[in-house]
Amino acid sequence: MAEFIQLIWSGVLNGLCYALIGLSLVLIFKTARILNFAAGTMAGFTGWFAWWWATKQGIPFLLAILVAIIMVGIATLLIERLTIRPLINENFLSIVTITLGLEFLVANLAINFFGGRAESFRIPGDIQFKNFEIGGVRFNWWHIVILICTFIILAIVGYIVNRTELGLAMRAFAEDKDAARLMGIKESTVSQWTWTLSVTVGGLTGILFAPVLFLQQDYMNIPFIKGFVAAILGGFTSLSGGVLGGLLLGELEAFAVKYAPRQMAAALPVIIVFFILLIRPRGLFTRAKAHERV
Amino acid sequence: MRKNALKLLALLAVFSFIAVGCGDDDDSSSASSSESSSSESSSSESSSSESSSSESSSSESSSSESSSSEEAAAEECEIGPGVSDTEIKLGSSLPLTGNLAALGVQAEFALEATIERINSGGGIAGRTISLTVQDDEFNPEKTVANAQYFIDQVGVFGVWGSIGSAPTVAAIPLHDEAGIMTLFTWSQDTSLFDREAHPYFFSLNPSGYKQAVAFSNYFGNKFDYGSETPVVAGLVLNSPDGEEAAQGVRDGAAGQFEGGTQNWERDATTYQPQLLAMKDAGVTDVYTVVGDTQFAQIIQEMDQVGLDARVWGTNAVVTSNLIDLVGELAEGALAVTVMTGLNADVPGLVQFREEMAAVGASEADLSSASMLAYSGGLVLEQALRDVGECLNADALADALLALEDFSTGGIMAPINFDPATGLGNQGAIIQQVVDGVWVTVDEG
Repeated sequence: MAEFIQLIWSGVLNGLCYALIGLSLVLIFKTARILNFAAGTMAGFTGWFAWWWATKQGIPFLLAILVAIIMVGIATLLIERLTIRPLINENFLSIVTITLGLEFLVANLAINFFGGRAESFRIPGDIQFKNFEIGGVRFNWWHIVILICTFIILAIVGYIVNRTELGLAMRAFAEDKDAARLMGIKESTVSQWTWTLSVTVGGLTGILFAPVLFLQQDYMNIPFIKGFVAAILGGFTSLSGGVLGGLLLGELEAFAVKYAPRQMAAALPVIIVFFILLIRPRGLFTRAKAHERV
Repeated sequence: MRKNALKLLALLAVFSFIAVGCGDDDDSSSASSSESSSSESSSSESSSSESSSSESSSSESSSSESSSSEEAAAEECEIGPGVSDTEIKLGSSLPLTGNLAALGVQAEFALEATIERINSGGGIAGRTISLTVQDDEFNPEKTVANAQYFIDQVGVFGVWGSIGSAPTVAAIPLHDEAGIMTLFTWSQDTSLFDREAHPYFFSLNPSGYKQAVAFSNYFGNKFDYGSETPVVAGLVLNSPDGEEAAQGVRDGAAGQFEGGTQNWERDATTYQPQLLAMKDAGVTDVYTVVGDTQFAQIIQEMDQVGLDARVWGTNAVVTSNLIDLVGELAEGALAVTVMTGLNADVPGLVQFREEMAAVGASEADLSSASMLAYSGGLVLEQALRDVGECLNADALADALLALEDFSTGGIMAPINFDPATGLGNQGAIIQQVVDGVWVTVDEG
């Protein structure tokens, strides 16, 4: 039983990473119908930036994270204003191309600024190296921090989307862009804060998983791809769907390694996702709109 | 009319005699040379002559003698592409960005150190070495583009010190077709070690299969694992390379993987599910074929899932970076390598450290990647000196094959190239992290 729970827990850990990246992607896509291909690289850059403040500049760990998040947030506001907004009413491909360009730009900035050598993001007290056991199941303290932080992030995003004016505007745009404009909601405001919120969620993911994956030039690129699959699995327009899709993908990966033939283990989760999408093209956690159902 | 014509001819004859007479008075050497040529030319014009024809024929014969001697010399001394009287052009395709950028940068330092040593000593047979380095991001497509660039644009004699199996496998057909050398790459794919297919491929790094056999033989024959019954498991890339490594372990003295084989994918986020499966199987030893950062992640995750086993790596994990990444968790980690540990007390390492420092390398740049590239440089230098002036790919290949017990100052076992595979380093060295540094625990 302990082995089984341990396996579930390892799936949860990967799943949380995919879930947060999936959430970051869905936030932008749901509101602005934009796929941000720079999401993984920007998340990784934030992780590197926090490490740089903490390790190279010697400022306290939590303050380093705060400074990194604020500075990346400000940079995102600028990037949105200068590159995304001028194209906001242009075709989908133009903005996708811009995000691809951003990906290359940020990746090159990172390699030039932080170098190519892998680094360890040491947490105060080295808690990423400390473990404890409950009933034969082994837990790592930093993984517990990741779990708690994920819940906090989800709660804050949920609050912003469901309980604030900004969230109302985001939902209005997600539902019907033209009607939202007619209601006097400023698209530029919604766009800039959605981008900032999305990149902040991604950045926090980059920081949380830096001690797990080690800081490498593109350490968040694979989680980005998995997060993308998770978002598709969840429906891509459902915030909770993106999160649940991530968790499901994490568990599929863990159980495939344990129970599938080893040559199939890596491909199996993606094959399962493929069949799920054949049966439910909208994703697992999205319902058809009422007028579509009618 | 005829009288006028005769007068004109007579006048011309007089003027020509006067011109010849005036010329005789001039005694400067340069003028005499021009005189002789004008005389030759005039003599040929006036057809006066045997002398001119004899001069001409002697000149022809001397030119034909000289051209035939040049041809003979050329036949005797065929110079390869990328080689001139003053220079030998080499190229290197390295991952200078991307996940393996650290290895690329380290190798580049070692190549620079070698060139600095050779060129500052006056070169070899009057030629200095020039190196063009291109970034391939460990992407085989970019390596192929780099190979094309080296061959078409730079015109290199050989490609030296590149990193990675997949990039080298992708680029080597171009090298072979152009007749250029593929020297001392850090690549383990078995298909490369075939001199019938790749006559100009020479390596100091054994194939993944041979390294796995070396691990298996050491583990099965020499390793003291006490009274416990060892259960070995493999964690290899889900690829033909990975399968070959797994087969190498099975073919050696350790035999079958009692703990099974687990695959990892290039797009793996973590290795926890694989490590949990090993924990369930009671594995005591994990043989991995990964880079140093992945090795660090595996060590960290073994601790997190409670897999209490020895972990073994290959050359790629013997870096100080590994110890920086996981600190004390790295203690006891083992590696089956083809080079000595960085802290070994051998003269080759002293020289390596000095030369690397001279080109600006830091302590972190002293690694398997830089030692391998540096050792290749020592071998290359010796072979180039042995070849001398008539440098071409065949001559260098012969010189490499003729090396006997070439010493790298203790960095590697004595070098003897196998004519069938092009592999020069047949040794296996076991290293272990002890008190935060890699040390040699067995010479294999």
